[in-house]
Amino acid sequence: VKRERFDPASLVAGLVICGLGTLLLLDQTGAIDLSFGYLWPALLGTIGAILLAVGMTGKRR
Amino acid sequence: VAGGLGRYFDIDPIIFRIGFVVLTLAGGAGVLAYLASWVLVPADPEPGQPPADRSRAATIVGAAILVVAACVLLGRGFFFFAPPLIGLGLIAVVGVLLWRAAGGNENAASTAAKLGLALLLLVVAVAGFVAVGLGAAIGGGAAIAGVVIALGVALAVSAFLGGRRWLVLPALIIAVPLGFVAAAGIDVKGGGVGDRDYQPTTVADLQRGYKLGIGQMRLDLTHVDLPPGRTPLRLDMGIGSVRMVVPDDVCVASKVKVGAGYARMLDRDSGGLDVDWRQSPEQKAGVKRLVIDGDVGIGEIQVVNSRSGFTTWDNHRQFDNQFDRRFDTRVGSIDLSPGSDANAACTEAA
Repeated sequence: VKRERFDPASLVAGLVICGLGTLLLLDQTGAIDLSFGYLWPALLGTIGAILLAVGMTGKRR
Repeated sequence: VAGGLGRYFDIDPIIFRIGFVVLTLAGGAGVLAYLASWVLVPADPEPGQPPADRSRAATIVGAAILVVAACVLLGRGFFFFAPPLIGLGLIAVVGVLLWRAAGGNENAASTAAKLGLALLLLVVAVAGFVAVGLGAAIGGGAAIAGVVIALGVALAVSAFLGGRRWLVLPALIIAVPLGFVAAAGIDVKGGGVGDRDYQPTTVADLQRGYKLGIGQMRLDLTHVDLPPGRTPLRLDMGIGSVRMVVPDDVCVASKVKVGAGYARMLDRDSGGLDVDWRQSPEQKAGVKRLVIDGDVGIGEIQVVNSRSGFTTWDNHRQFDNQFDRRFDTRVGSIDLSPGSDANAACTEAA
């Protein structure tokens, strides 16, 4: 049986996207009031973390 | 130093270089850390090389974006660089994922295929941005945020099954426009689309609130004789312009929120992103007080009287009638000096 290789970049990307989605859900349900002052760092942090994770891990085989 | 650390931890030494610079700029700790490492870390025989099969470009861009994100969050500037950087970051994510998906080959056929795929993705992304933005603006934001979380969970789970990195693209295409709609506070449901002109002549004609989804709303209250005391008025606009003229004998208090755009309330104005203020001027007893609660997603909200004027972005309008003229005759005549008397009704005798 072929064993699938663990892909840390997918794990990091999935977790930061979950975090971003949770932030947006909290805003949509009225729990928080998201402003651009917090949106920019949230989006940049998500994109930066994904790029960093992809860049620091090897190519998938 | 960075090369030795990179080799020891098996990651690109550029990460350590960026870390040293950031720590140095953030208080000088980077200099001490570098000196300590220079003494303790053995020299790298092949300095500065990233580990094989890693992407240095993606690492550098990702680290740089994270540094800018931290600066924006901590209020250290870069605020105005954030929107274009998000666009560049999205392009970088798409480029890296496509490159990886194609296995990093550089022959002409694969390059053409990648370009074609990138163009197709661009078209899909633009259509997706618009569709998600509209869906969120008409009230589907919570469900869309749920989809983003579901994609994130699927991506994280896939890490143990070899990874499905392409899921990043739909997740970002959905999350970014939803974020814009959420931050701007755009709400167009139930408001309609078009131009609305209101010219009530009595207090009975005056509604407690006016709402428009997308378009232009103009209110002329100069013929309304408001009663002494507090009169609340709610103004809601998703995307567009709200302009209102009030009588000179009315004291205006305001709570204003504009996601992106411009707001003017008699002698006060502000523009840009996250315009948010509450103004409650002192007033004498018996004064007519109009309490405006204005909420605009993207656009402008302006309230003036004959002592102040609209800030206008178009000086060449044709006026069809007196109503139109009232909304554009006092072009740029606003006086924002501390002695401005545009809201003098608050302190004038009733």
